[in-house]
Amino acid sequence: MKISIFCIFLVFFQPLQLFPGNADLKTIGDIRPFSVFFETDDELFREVLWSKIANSKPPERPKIGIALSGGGARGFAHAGVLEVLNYSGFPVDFVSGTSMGAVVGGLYSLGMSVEDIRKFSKKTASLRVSRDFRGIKFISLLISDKLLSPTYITQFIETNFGNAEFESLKKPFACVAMDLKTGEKIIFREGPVAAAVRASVNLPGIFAPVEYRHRYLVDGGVVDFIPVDAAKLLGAEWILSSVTEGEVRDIPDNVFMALLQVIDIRGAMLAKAAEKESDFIVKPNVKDIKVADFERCEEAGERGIMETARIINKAKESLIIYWFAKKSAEKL
Amino acid sequence: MRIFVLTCLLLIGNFSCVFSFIFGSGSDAESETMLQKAQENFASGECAKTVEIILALLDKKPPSALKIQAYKYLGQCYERLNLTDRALGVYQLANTLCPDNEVFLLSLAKLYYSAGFFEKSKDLFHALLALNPENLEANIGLARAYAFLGFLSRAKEFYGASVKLTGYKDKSLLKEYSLCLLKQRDFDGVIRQMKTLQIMDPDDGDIYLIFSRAYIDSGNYEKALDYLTLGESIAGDKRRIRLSKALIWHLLGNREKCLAETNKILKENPADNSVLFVKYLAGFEKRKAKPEAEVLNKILENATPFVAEMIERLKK
Repeated sequence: MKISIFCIFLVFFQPLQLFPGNADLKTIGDIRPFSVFFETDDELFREVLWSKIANSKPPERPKIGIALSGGGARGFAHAGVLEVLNYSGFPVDFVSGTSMGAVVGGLYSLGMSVEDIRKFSKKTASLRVSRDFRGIKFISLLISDKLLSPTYITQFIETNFGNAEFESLKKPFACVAMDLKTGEKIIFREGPVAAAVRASVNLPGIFAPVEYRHRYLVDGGVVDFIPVDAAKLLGAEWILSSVTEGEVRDIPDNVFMALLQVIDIRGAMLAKAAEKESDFIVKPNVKDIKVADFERCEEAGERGIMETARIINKAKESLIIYWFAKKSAEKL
Repeated sequence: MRIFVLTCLLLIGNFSCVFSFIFGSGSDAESETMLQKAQENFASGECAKTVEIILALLDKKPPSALKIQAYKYLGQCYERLNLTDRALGVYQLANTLCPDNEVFLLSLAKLYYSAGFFEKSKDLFHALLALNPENLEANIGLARAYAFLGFLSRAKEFYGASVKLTGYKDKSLLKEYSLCLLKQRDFDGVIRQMKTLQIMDPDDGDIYLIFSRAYIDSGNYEKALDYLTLGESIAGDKRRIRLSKALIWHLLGNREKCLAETNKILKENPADNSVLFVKYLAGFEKRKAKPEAEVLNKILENATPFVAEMIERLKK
């Protein structure tokens, strides 16, 4: 008994530093993330010429579009991409989005700050969006002979977009859906934003199509995973695409997951063609995050930041070189 | 009996340190002598010898108190000998034995940081701050790790904490904080910090260069030029400052001043390709008799990668 009490005492009151020694407080080496001045001529040219782009408007610089792909929960990586672009002073004239790209792109075009958009990713669990996916039971689909209505996604979209119209957005925006009756790609550029975004994220075969102006609309990801065309239609001359494609890993263990996987595979196939049309591509490393993994949205956002931070200088250089090609050197 | 069993189960989670406290009692005279010898060799910079002694000491299975000290010296010696993998192994083992030991946490965090494993280092810096939120090295380490990973707003948070801990007196840290703000395009923040530093040390050339960067990034080229000129007067190596000024004068359309800056550099090195490229952009090279492609090919010969890419595009 006495030994037990002694052991309990040790467990709860053990000193944290039994063998403290001396903490060697030398500085953390010379590896610093920032330098006082340009360290290379390339950095000098890039940053000085970039300042011209970042501080001017068309036609002094090209018109820049950002195309945000689909991807479900992975699509929250776009918020991280936008954050880094924002910090680097990347001018964004047009935004286009498919599926979750439409949600993030729409919020951004509405004028929401990237920090606030990222905050959504932190509370997606409490937003109950994932319940729309978890609540799906195939048997009930068969019995009721009706497709489901995604309650929480609709609530989220209507709460945040309200009665906003495309024409009133801070940045020109377009999003993509598919007409289930005709198979046509529908690019929304006018009218109520909430209806358009809701159509763009509407998973076919699971959620009931959105009826809008005699069309029956579902997720644009099945016809246009990366909406580069939509960005061009808006007027973009140079397009950066943020692509959050998945990777087939597991054998699906139910019909719903199988359907999601098919949509994912289709998206990856469409992405290949659209990437060729983009001027620059950012691919956050989110392949292991599944479409319905909404608990991992914050993680997706962080990976978007990390990948974009890694390649931002290349993105700037790509745009500067495009700018060079557009204007003669004497007119810079 | 139940209490005893429960106690044993509780102990398992804290087995290592408690075990060592209970059973590593007393001192092993020989081990202590060896450790002392190792410490003396370490102090005089004899790392190879220190490692030899420590490894022999560890073979003797010394008491845990001495073992932890041994690991500390072993890890630091491996670091000094640039045997990073081995140092990592030692600190990882020591950290497993005593997860709340700040020495090992910090050493491991710094090694991961130095090796570019910023995600791993950040987790360890966070662990250190959980033990002591005012650990300056952990705050600085975390700020830098986050900056490298691209999380500028988090980096700003920990830089802010670091400068506060130093009473806003560490100039190097204040500059680093300002550069983090610069990366976030918080130009007002940068200027505020630099004005504070300017009062502390008006002869520090870095201050003028950081001012100039804030003005370049914000497109205020005239002010950028003023500060570049101030920085140039103090700086040792003036070349890149002059190159910046030349490029900015070109962007402002002032060919005369652009030429003046390029000539200052070409006087010291007539084959400076980056400067020749600026002269080309400003239109000076095109006035010569040579065809444009020939001029560009000459500059291309030793151009830096991005400049070369721009030249290739211009040639098309």
